[in-house]
Amino acid sequence: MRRSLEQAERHAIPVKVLSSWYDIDDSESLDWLLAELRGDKPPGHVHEGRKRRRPARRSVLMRERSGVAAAMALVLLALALFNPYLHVPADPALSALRDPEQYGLIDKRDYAVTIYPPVAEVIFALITRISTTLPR
Amino acid sequence: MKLAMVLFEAVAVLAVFRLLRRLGKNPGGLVAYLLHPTPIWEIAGNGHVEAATLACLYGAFAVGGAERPFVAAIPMTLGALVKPTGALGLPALWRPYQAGLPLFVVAMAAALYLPFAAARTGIVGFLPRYLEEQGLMSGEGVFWLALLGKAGLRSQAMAPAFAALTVLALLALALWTRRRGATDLASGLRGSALLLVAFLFAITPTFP
Repeated sequence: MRRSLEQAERHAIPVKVLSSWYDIDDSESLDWLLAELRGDKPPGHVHEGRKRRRPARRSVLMRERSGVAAAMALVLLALALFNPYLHVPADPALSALRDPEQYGLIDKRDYAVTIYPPVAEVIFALITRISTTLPR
Repeated sequence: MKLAMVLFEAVAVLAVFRLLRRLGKNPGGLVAYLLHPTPIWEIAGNGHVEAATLACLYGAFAVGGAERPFVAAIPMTLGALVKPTGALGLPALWRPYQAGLPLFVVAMAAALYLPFAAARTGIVGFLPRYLEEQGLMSGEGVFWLALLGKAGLRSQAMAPAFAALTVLALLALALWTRRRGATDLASGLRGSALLLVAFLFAITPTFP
């Protein structure tokens, strides 16, 4: 562990230290986590061939990286970075935030910035942030 | 989003429950509100953000209303910054001729707009074009003006005159509802209901 951290620091690789039991050191565990993050696999799923329940990797990971304060900070950061009164939905600056399914349903996306006041914008951003942490 | 709006609606219902108890009314009357098709259809079904405004509006009265005007003004202002219609509840917190409360509300709104100040006048967003598209600038989208138009009596000057008269009438109505500076809950709710109904009556759209 210590050597891994030293190596990471030497190569300027950002490190997130998870709980000690949170072990992803094989391809199977990594695939499991990625499937949970993608929403393909529900968190806390009972692993085949094992009696014990596997930890809810996705929800634990989300909890570790986004408590309420962190979620609020991310929302405010997102609003600061993407001032909704400056960008129309079709703005290329927002392309990374798009849900292709929802984007197709937005009318007036080429010319209409939001009509909602700031508290509504914060609510929308917060709901979106929370919904991305929930299993699908 | 719909689930969140239903949760806001739940907060509104709890606040109404508390208000009914404080008014000495039977909370069973809430059944009529809960079974009304509008919240079921428009909030649970369509996820309209008015649910948050209603939660703030009823919540403001539930935390004290005009008896604790500055405390109540916080959720009321937040509600108005979700949907501006919620601002029609603010006069119910005001006592003639208190200057501190309006200043507090304006300062709070300004602080909440501050993170978006880079947009300058753009912080009103799509509103001007929306008013135009909905025929509210020309008057074609307002039922009463459209009615005059059908009778061949509408002129171009009528839309701005109607808007100015509506604003003046609402201001006068707000002052009239607060003329005695009553701080009791019933007066506050009655005044707010009157203002909201008058506003919705005045800007009744031409939608079927």
